[in-house]
Amino acid sequence: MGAIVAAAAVVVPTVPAHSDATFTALAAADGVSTTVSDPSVIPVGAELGGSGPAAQAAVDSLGNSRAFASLPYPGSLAVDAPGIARGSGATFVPDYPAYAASSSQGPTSTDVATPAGYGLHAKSDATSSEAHAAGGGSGDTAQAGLTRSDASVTATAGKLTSIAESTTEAFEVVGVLRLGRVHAKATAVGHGDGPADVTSELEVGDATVAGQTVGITDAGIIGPAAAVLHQAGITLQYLAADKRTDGVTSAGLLISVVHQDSSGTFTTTYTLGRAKAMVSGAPVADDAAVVASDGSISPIDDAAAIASPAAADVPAPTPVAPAPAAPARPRASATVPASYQTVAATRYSTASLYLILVLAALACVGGIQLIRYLGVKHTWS
Amino acid sequence: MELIGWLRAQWDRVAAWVVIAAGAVALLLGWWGVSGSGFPAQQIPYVISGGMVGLFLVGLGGMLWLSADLRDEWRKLDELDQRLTALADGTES
Amino acid sequence: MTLPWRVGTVVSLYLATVVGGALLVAGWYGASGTGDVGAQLVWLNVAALGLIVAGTGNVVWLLYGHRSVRARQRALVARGMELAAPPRRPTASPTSTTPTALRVAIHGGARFHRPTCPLVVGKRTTARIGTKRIPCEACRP
Repeated sequence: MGAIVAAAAVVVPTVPAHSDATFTALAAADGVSTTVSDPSVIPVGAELGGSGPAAQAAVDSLGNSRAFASLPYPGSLAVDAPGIARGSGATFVPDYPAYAASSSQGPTSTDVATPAGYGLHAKSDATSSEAHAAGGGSGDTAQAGLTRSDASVTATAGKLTSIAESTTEAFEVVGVLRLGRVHAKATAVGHGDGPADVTSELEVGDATVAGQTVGITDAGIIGPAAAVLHQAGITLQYLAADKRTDGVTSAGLLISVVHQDSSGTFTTTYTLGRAKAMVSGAPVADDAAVVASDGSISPIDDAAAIASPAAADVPAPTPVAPAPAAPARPRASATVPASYQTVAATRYSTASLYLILVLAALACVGGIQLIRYLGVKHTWS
Repeated sequence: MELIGWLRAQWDRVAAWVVIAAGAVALLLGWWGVSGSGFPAQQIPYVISGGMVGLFLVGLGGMLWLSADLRDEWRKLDELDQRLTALADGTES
Repeated sequence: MTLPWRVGTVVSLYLATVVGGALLVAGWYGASGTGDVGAQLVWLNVAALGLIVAGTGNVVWLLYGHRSVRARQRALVARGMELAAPPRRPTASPTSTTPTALRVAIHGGARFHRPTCPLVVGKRTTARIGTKRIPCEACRP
């Protein structure tokens, strides 16, 4: 036990061999995840957005046990970019970011009340964490009634449980598409070595298009209602559940709306559902409480686990950059996958920054040729 | 061989081309990497290793190129200097 | 063969490029070692700083070389013009120069010149050049 405590205090530089003593669990429910792309503002079509209300919880054998609940926060970039600030990145957001975070190292419980009586709650102890977030809101193209997100992870002797659940009520898009209720849930239970037991579900109730009830199939909405949607610039896509040996992402709905106004044409995408639960390993019988003795917390990492259950990679270094140009070195604490940056921050694309670098390189070459002909190879005067 | 001699004399120009080509390759590879992921946490290392390093190499290549031109000019000035000296000596004697 | 740069300038260029490159590599290494975008942005700034350092060093190098080339070019042009100027020797004594006007200097100037140097023609000169002045590169007295 002492050896494990000492080991937990040290950041592991390489991936430890999969053993009973190491485990990680993650649950994440994003609520309504929104991205907005406006090609006229950011030429490469970078997407900004937020998601929420979001709840995340994670626990691992290094002694980290954390929970995080937030309302969506699009980030300062979205707030500054004029055409997008009022776009749906700011849909469900108050004027200030709101989040509640807790950790087994403290604070162990946080509550944040938000306007309109909704709430954020996060709670952690040495072996479990849970987060609850509730909110609602509206924006240019969509509005939602109450949306709740819950995430919890629990580590007990021989069993690791992760549950993520998200419910959105009265979700309406440009007044044409209305989803009375969207409920997604993902559960993963691990017993140590071997695949985890995973289940997930997605329920959509009272879906109507222009007042007419419709059914949502694997292919989205079919029939005459599809034409109505198309006319309104709406597309709805059913995202199938993604089950892996160590976790599951529940099914979800991807709704995108194209609309124009005085500042241009932009596309807003809403993702509902997609609750994620992931477990890897499980504590052995007497390992239930593992606490780092020096309070050090290794940075847990990354959006890769949150949004794409290529969390099957958890026992291996997360592949960040497999190409020769930028192979990533194995990360410190590669076994711990969750990250507590606001989920909104993961929606930004750096493509526009890259384009600027490329243009700078071209300007460099062009400028140098100019200098050569004008400045260096001058005629004798 | 003439080529070797030319390469030796123009080594900085050749180096400039090679370095600029390497920079272009780095930029392309970086772009490929950036477009392969939607998450900034995965893109930023590519931005640095592809974009910024590519820019660095292109800048270096440009510097080498201009240095090559400056050295050519300096060589011409050397020749001129010698000629003028010869002329001056010729006039004075 | 000479070069338009001094050894000191070459060393500075290498230093700037190496330091800039090292900062770039450090930035990449740091950014790829963490999944937190906030931390990565710090490393991005480190890499950008490396770019700036390297860029500044290279630009200074080029400017210095350009200045050297220009200065030498000007000096040679002056010399060429002086050589091409109509010779004043017929009006002077048979010896190539009169001793009193062999070397002249401008008051406060750092160099001494031939009297026919374009840089002193038309200006008030003195034959007392002292011992501290250096010969003009243009007219090579």
